[in-house]
Amino acid sequence: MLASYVPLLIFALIVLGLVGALITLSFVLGPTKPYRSKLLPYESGVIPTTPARQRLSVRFYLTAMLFIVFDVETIFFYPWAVFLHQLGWYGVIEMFVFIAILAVALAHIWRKGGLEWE
Amino acid sequence: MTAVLLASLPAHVSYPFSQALSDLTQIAPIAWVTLTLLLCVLADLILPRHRRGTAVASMAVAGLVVSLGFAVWFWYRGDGHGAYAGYVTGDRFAVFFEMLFAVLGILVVLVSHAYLRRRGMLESEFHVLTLAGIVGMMTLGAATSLVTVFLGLELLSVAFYVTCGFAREETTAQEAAAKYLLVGGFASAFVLYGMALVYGAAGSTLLPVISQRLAHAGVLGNPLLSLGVILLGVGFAFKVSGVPFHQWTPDVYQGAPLPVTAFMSVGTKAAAFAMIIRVFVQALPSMTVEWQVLLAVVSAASMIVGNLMAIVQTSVKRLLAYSGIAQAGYVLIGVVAGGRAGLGAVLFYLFAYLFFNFGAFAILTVLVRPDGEHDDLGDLDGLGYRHPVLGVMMSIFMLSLAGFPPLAGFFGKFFLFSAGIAAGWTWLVVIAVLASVVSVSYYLRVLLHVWTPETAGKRLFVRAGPVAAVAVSAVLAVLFGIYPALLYGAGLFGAAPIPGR
Amino acid sequence: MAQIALAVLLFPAAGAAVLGLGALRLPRRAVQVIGPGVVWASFLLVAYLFWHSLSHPQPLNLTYWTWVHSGSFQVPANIYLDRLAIFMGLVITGVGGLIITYALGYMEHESDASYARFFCYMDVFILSMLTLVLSGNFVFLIVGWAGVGLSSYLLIGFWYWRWTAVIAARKAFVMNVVGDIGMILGTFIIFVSFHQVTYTGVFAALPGHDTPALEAIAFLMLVGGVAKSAQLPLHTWLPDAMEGPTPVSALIHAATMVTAGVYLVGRLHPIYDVAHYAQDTVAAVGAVTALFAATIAIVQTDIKKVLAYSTMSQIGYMFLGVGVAAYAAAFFHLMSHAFFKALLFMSGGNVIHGMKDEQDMRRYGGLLRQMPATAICFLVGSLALAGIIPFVGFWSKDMILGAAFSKPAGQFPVSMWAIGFVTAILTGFYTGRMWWISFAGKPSPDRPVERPHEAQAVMLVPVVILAVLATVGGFIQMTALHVNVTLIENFLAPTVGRISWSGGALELEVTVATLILALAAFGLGYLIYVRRSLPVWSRALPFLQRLLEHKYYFDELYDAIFVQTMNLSARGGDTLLEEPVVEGTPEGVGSAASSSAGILALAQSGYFRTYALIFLGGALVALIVLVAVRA
Repeated sequence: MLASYVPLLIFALIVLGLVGALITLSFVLGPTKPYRSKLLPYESGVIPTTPARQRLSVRFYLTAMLFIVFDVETIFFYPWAVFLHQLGWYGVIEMFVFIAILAVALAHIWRKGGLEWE
Repeated sequence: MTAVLLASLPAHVSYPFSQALSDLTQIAPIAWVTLTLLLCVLADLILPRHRRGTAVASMAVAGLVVSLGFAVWFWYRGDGHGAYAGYVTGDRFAVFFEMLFAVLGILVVLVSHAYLRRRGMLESEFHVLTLAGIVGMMTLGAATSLVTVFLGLELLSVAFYVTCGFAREETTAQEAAAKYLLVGGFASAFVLYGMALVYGAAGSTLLPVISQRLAHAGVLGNPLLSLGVILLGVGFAFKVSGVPFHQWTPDVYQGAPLPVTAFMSVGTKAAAFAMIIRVFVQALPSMTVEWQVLLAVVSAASMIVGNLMAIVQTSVKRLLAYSGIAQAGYVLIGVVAGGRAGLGAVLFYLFAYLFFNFGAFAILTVLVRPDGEHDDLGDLDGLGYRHPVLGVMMSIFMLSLAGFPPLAGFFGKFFLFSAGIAAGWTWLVVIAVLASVVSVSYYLRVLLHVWTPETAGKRLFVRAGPVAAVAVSAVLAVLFGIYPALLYGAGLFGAAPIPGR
Repeated sequence: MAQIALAVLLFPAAGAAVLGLGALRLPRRAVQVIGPGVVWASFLLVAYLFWHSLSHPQPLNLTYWTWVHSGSFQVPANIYLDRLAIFMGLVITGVGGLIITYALGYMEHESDASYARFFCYMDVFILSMLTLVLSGNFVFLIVGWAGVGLSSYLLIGFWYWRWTAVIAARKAFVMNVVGDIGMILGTFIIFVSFHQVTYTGVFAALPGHDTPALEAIAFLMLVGGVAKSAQLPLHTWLPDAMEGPTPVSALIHAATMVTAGVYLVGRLHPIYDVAHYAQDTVAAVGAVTALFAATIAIVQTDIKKVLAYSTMSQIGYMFLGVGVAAYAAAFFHLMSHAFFKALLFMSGGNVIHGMKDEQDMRRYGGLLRQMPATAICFLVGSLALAGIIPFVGFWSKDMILGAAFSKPAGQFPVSMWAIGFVTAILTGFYTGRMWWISFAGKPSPDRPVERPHEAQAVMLVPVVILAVLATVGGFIQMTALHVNVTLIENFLAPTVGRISWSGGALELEVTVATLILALAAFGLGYLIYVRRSLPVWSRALPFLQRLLEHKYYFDELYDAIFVQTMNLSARGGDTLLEEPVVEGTPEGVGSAASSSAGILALAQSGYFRTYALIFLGGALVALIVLVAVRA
């Protein structure tokens, strides 16, 4: 029983080994000669005037998260499309129910101002 | 890629309408709450701002009442069976928990309506989240697949992650939400990993199939399966707040708004026990030794640590949190003992506990003022004189928690302990009895404050909703003490679909 | 039928709940309606049950639900509704209703809160007493039994600001708990022997069961009965219980609660009929208590104390009756005693009320002129107590004595009769003494009130009703004079059976002799205390008087044996055990609990990282444990 996990173990070892080797190699082989101006934060050739640690508007994350949520949900359409002929009308109704639920969520986000940037 | 996908699919999938209807019927109480939830979301968008709260609250209560009606109807029909290819079921066990959670939902909405009003919080979203939590809990009771179990677990957890931090301005609430999210995620990972290992050993996520496949002795030597059971057990122990996976409990209970605490203290616990019974007793009877020992140790530790820590608390919310940890220990005895008597006792206790523990929290909501909650022991001073009815009810709840006859709590413990003795777990019951004796001290300390004469306090103004919820809880806590057979019989019926050992 | 029987209990329960919860706010008028109202409602229901049972004599075993079910231990919540239960129910609610109605007037000087509290307790008492007699199993019997003990405690100590009342309440409670323990032990033996606790189940399993166990059960149950009914040697609480308000004395400590022991023996008669030693003990305890209490009553000067001792004495008769298996006679006397003793207490209460709470009857005198109705009623009660024809006490007491006299069972019943015979003469004497001193002659110079008024209507009407009952109540059962009217015996026959032997030779002559001697003793009081033409007997026998006035030194004896020993050992224990061990241990446990909680609290740091670490540690420990278990 346990033997069936052996390929998995080998795979994990290879992955770890490869990643470890790459990092170590680049660290060892790469020339590192740090001096002052190299260590400065660098932004398109302009010396930054403010600290890099700034508070960022959370809108970006919110929108990104919403995108991922809906994106993941659209994945359900693919297997559904494959089986559509066999599922028949029931499948169509079912998917409309699913879309309706998504629509309620979208309406909620929209109405509550989740999509507004400012 | 597509070719590979298609090749692995069954040749023909047929799903006629009659089957769809039958499947939907099996989960009608859950489906109805989900529908109510969606309608509540829409109502929140459409209705004018000042009427949203009350409207959504009424819709939620109405929906839960209908769902309760469905559940009661199915309970009396008693012909529930598996649905959706065996992923959920509508058997009596599921229906028992659907009834429990529908009742709990109604009480929560009644209490939180007044609470949110007084504190000026967003109301309709809160009720929507409550409904989502209820859906998750009901799903846990009805789940017969590891996938559905995880679905229910996360649905309920996510709802609580949000509601715990509902008092957004308060740092304690933020802390509670963050902490609960982090520790909860940690525990969910344990559960998921455990499920993966069990799936790996059994090759199916369906609980009855797992039980069947693992019945062959050859599989049992698999250490990964044992590891899976441990990981599941740890995750479950977290959800029932068993020691040593309990530490989030006092912090989160204290930081969360009172209705959430009340909801969580009863609901999460009951749902987690449903999950434990489904997964451990139904799917993993062949691993009984492992999880029995694990749960027995957690049970003993919970009873000891919970009761000791409760003694030194000064906040009633924290006190009740530790008392809840100890109570989880008592209930675990029933799971460990198993059999129809043990599981029947668990179901009895969970339903009865719903009333007296929820009631105790609900009374605290009366002390809420716009500036915040007042849940120190000292804030209870003279409650019995400022509002004698509430004082009497608080006494009922505390005495029931402490296990005084003839209240529901006494019979709950009586059934649990006698099942434990009958199954040969005498050492566990001895610890439980000793721990109960210790627990009397802090339950009575609460009453001491309630009945301290204090003339300075004004008479309390109390809204009808919380009083109704508290009164119903008190009446049932007494009723199930005078007539325990009513609920115990239901508990035995509810435990019947779980195959006995 | 099941609903009606349950409603009998629910009415007083509801009354008590309403009065208890609303004690602070209910208007006095509402209390006056609810307090007695619920009792009368129960009375009507019991009356209906009575009417129904006339045509349906077979007992009903009404099971409502299974209260506890655990393994082989099963306690149904059931009511055993037979004619004995209905009979007791009629006495409890009927006499109880009259007394509670009377209390409306008697307690009028109380504050509103106290007033509601009083009627709440009274309803609790009625509820407990009804539970006691209606219960169909030993568990609920104990519940009712303890409930009457509790309400008795609450009512004796009703005036809780009076030190003596509190002490008396405590004494009654302790004595009763001694009895309760006996009953509970008896119930344990019943469960061990029969594996069930319902009357029907246990009685069905009786035939062929070994007698020693039954004797043990019967003796232990008797301990409970003796304590509750204030029989020797657990009697000392009853006279002190007179510290309670007079309606309480009438209801609890005369008419109903103290007869519970008689009910118990009657209810368990299938056991006592087999357990002969226990049954004879019942008779002996009853007879000796009857004589013992009657002698003490002769020297008492407090009117309520006289009545208290007479109550003990009369319950002794009832014990004598059930002890010789003359159940119908005993229950007839129970009923008649409820009538005349409630009558005596309530008319005595009228006097006390009119005399500004003065209870020493030497300071009354000549009340016949000023309170004629009360005086006549009191006379009716006194004659009934003394057993004078045609009052109810004559018929019932002489039925017991007659049954004992002619029971064909060797010397024992006759010797019991002899004690009862002497007691009857003494009863005539002390009853006469009480009436003559209080109501006849000239007013005492020490009277606290010169011109007392007759009691108000609400306090007089129940008294008059009881006086009528005490006068004519005896004509329903005239076995004492061999007249063939046997309504009580007929009614109770399906439950406790008939008296199996008939009156033998000389019984009628003996009855007449008892009557004449008792009447003569009653009249003797006139000569001694009114005309003063005969010397007071005690002058001649100062030693005897002192002995009686100290109630045979029972209190002193108990004080020496139990209290002093207890104090001594307590004082010794205080230094040897209490401080280092008893006080030390809880403190130690408490501080150990607190300090261990303190250590545990260290883990409750509030940091997520700590929690995650402990979480992980717990999982690891679980893993190690399981590996150990598997291995």
